[in-house]
Amino acid sequence: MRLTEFVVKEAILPQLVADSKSSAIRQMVGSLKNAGKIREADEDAIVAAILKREELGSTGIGRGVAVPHTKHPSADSIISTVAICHDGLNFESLDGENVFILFLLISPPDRPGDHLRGLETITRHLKNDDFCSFLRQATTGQAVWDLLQEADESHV
Amino acid sequence: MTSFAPPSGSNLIIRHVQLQLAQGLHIRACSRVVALVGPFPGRVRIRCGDRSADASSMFDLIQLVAVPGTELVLEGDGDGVEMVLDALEQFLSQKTESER
Repeated sequence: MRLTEFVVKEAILPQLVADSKSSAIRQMVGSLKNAGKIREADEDAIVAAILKREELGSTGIGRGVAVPHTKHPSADSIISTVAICHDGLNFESLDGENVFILFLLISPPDRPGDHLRGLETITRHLKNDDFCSFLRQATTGQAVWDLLQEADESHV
Repeated sequence: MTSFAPPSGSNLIIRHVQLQLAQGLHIRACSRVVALVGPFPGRVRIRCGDRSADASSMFDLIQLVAVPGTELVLEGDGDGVEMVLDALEQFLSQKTESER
């Protein structure tokens, strides 16, 4: 699976400003709505589902990365957006460190394999220190997209 | 599920377990595995097909892409490894998501 298969370019937030986990998630879901990838009628339910999932345990998985996610019946396939929070955000991460890179993932409810493959794709690239470093320095959506493309081509 | 020590003189303990968690080895399940292994001073790895993960690494575990029904191989050594593998085996064998 390739990052550019499921990340929505138009929904990337390269300079996220958020003072809370909730605010970050709302902005990211709103960006997917603005990009036409989710319906306005589903927006609140998706935000609520992601926040409810966070209550079960943070998706801040370390290395300055969080992967908030949910499964929702409106998704025919995995969709995702990326946000870069240059100031860092308290996401109650497993390692206690702030988060700078967020991949928000919405998956169809009945295909756990696709969801796991999406997570695998994201974490495989984020294990690369250079990829993380360059993402954290990106300030435009195009710059983030270029890095995703390069990662897909294994140039990073 | 089986448990045996290899005959090479190594203290490595190997177990086979079928993953029953309904959502597979997703993030919350991975974090539970990390929590179970975290205090253990020895070494635990989980193999899934041709992939292998350090069981104390979230990033490694997610990359196993372990879906429900998958056969997992747990490998560990060190003092108290049996207890850690017991806990992992019990957790990975349950169908309901009572990880926390």
